[in-house]
Amino acid sequence: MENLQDVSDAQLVTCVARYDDGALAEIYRRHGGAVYGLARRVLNNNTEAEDVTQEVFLRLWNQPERFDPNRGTLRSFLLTQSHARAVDSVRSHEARRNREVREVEATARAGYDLQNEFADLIMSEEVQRALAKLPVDERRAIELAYFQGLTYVKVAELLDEPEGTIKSRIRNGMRRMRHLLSEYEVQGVDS
Amino acid sequence: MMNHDEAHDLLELAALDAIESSLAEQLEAHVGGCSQCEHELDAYRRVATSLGNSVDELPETLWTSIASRLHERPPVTSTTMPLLVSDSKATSASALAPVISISAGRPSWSRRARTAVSAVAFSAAAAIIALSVGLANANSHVAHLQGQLGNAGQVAVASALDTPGHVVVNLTSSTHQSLAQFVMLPSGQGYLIGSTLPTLVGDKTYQLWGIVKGQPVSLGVMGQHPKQVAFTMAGPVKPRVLAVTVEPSGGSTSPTSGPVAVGTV
Repeated sequence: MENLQDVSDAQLVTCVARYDDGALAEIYRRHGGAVYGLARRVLNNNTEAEDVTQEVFLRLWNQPERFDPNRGTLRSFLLTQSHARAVDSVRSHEARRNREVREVEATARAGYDLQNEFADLIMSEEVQRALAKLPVDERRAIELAYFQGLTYVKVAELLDEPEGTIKSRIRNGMRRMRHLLSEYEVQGVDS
Repeated sequence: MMNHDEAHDLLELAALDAIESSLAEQLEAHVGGCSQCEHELDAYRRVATSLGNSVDELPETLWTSIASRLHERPPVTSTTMPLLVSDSKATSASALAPVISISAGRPSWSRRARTAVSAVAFSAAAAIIALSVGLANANSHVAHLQGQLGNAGQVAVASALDTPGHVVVNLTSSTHQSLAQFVMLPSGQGYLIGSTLPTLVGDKTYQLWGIVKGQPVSLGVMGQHPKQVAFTMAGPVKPRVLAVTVEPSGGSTSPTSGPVAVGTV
């Protein structure tokens, strides 16, 4: 076996499916800091963030087939898991249980291109810039929802605004950022 | 059952996990059978995860804790689950086992032994990461960093900074620490102004890349402790993004690891 540090994320996930814990350790080395960082930001609690991180990687170990490379990078997949679990933890244990039940019912395919990972951080930088350029009302609504783990209904309550207004702000902001991202993906960054 | 319009109306919110779980459940049921909504939800999730894609230093014992649990059986829930293995006599626990082609019967002691080895290997890898990213000090002030250069480098950089149309590019880590600054000229020449990239050990080198049409193009090897770096970008298309990776000595034709620093031109 070649050095795991030279292996693509796709190959690592395939190795994980064969119970190669060294491959999981390498995935953890590459992405663990981001998974933990996002959970910590949402939960504002180191211990709970460790629990979420542990859960995300054990889930990948037990259900590697759930990662579908056609739907995004491994980093994006792991961060989606981390955020969802952190939000569940913020809201209720019941919500977490329901999500676990739904997710066990989903399966996915394997195979991946590491090159995507390289673009992730660059893309993240672009999105962060786009967020900073959003109208302050839209940015505030998105940040409260994503980093505080609030539903848009709770964001509306917190800001004392109509639900429809908050919904529109979040949707408009997300569409703006998606537009930027799609330009990046289709045309390349220097177009 | 949620219809298409109702589902479509919630995709941006769902990507942020900003809807109640009951709504999320209905949405996922729809998305599972609607390729358009699935595609759009994936796109919004990429936006969402890009928002949260910053790296924190990992707690030292976290991997050990994860590794110690790798050989436990997956948790069993009381809800009826579809079988993921073909054995009709499978117990409820084995029904939740991952779908794999080989190794299902591998003795658990060998996996535990490899876990211990990989935990040790990971500690070493984590140390490298800490050196690569965690210890860098932010300093984006060009004037201050110029003081770190030798005379020849200072002359070249000062000349570049006096050239009309020059651009200063600040490369930062994923945690937004400033790690390196370059000045780029309209002619395509570029110079390292300053760097707080930590010194690499072993057979490793920093390598500079320009991202052209979404693809990394090597601009040169920077060495283990970059101080004076000059490069020239040939061709009509100039990169809008610069990135630094850690590569094997001598450099690589394409990145073998994620960037430690990235900057937009």
